[in-house]
Amino acid sequence: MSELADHLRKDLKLLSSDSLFIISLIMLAVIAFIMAFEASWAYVDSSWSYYSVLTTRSIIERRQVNTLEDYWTSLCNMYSVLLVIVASMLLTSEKESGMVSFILTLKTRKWQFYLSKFLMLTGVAAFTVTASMLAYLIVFSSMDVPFLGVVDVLSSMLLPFLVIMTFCSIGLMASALVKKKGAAIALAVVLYLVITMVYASATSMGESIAYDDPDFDYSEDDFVDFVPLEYKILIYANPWVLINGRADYLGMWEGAALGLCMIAFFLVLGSVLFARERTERGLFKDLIGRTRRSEGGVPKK
Amino acid sequence: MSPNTDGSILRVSGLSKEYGNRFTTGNVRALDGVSFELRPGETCGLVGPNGAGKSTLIKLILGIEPRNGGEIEIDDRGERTIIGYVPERPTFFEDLSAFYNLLYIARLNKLSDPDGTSRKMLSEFGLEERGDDIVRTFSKGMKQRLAIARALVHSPELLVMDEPFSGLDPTMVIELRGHLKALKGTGLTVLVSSHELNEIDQVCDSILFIKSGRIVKKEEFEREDGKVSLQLVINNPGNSIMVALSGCKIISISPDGGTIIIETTREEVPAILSAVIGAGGRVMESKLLQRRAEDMYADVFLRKEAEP
Repeated sequence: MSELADHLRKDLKLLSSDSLFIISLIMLAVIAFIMAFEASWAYVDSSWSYYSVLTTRSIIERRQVNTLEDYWTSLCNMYSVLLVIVASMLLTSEKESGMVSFILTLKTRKWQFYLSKFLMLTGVAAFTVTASMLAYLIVFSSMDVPFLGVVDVLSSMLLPFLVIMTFCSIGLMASALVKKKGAAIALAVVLYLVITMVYASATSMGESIAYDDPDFDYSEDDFVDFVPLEYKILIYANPWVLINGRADYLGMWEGAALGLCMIAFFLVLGSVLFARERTERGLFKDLIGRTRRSEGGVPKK
Repeated sequence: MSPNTDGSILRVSGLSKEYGNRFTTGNVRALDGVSFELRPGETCGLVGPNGAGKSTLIKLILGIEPRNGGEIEIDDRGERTIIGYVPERPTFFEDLSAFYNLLYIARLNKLSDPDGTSRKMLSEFGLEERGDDIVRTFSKGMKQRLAIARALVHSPELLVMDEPFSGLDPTMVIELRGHLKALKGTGLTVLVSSHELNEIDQVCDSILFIKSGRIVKKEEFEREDGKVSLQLVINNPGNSIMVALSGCKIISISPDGGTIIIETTREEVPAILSAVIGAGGRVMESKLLQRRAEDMYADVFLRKEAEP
């Protein structure tokens, strides 16, 4: 694992020496504060009678939870598109400069090189989500409202973090797939837009079909059971379901499990794509050769 | 690392590489059955016209690109790689220091003292004072020195250099030549691709000529039988001198007898000079005539092309 630590140290050093990255982090923090103020305004301005004619502490807390969810939904859109772009540049900038080729002439494990980029993105995403949460808490602490419990605060961060990480994995995968930075950014943005549009279309069409089903009873049935399978696949295989579908399609822990699966899938796929970068006979022939060599034989490259 | 069982440090056999898309443009064969081997300590030039396949061959040896066929045998069983690589246009982590660029490679090669080794390499290549500066601020010559230091930081057995003289000013060329000559003394095997035949003359023991993806010839500067050509310029030619040289094989002699070329061995040169001087000859000049890379290149490429 020391090799992974070496890659990670280098990646962090590179990132911290990049003034553009520092500026981006500051910008993200500023955006978080603006969105927190926006959320506080929405919280105060909302129609309280929607909940009950009598405002109780539990209603205030429920309203706070809803405001926090809306805050994360709006931030997630912004962070996902920003971080998918950042992720798409991580490998391609080193590919373009020729450093990836050079490093792969050494006996480095490609998956560790790739994993180091992923871990760095995890750190950036964790920082972003934590900074946003702090911005929210700072803004709301200035209002005379009871604070949410630590569990509520932490659990509200989980699914947005997983959505952002899924898009980071997609961006990194795009970075592994192509050689040019511009092409990787374009591919990542197209993937982001396609995923977003597919989710919007699939939920809208699937739910229409469910509601139009003659067997569907509004008072007794859950409409999700009436959404056709093909639409369900498009919805559940989409990262946006983690945050936009949490009320109807899945609970928090199901969402967390699904999010982790999505991240693992794109991480492995990206790692396999990156493995093509240095193959002596092509990816599959190399794997077969390595298996044979491990059984004993002449040391050949 | 020990050499392969046949004594070579690198053995390439039947190497082939194709580029392109068979469905559209058709495949272009960049390398076609390339075979050669390098002895330990040999400095070998890789020479050929543009597009001959030099860079492709280097990329295949380094494993940067997949090959379509053939074998590359390197006894590379240890934790560190035995190949050091200097790319044609060396790239670095430009926003990190020169020291960190070396340290990263040293760590990846699992050296026991990566910090000390990196500092030592910076010092050997005259970069110790700029070691903590970011590489972006370095001149081209400094980057070239850093690239060689980086390629050597893990003490490789084989150094592969792709067009190292390309784009360097005369000072840098002299400096680089000095480094390469110094490396020859360390027993390092070097494969250097270059168009600079004069530099190949000065640093290489042998030349691999490559054309259209095939190794056309491997030429040694020293003849296999160890014979060399000795040219003597004598101020006062005469019979006594010819008598002194009677035991030698004379290849050519000028009409006035003042310039004589003899086939001999390096070991016999002092004795020949003593004999000529002992016979009263005033030797104005004596030099070993080596075959020049340019002549070899002309032999391999230009004369063959001129043939009908």
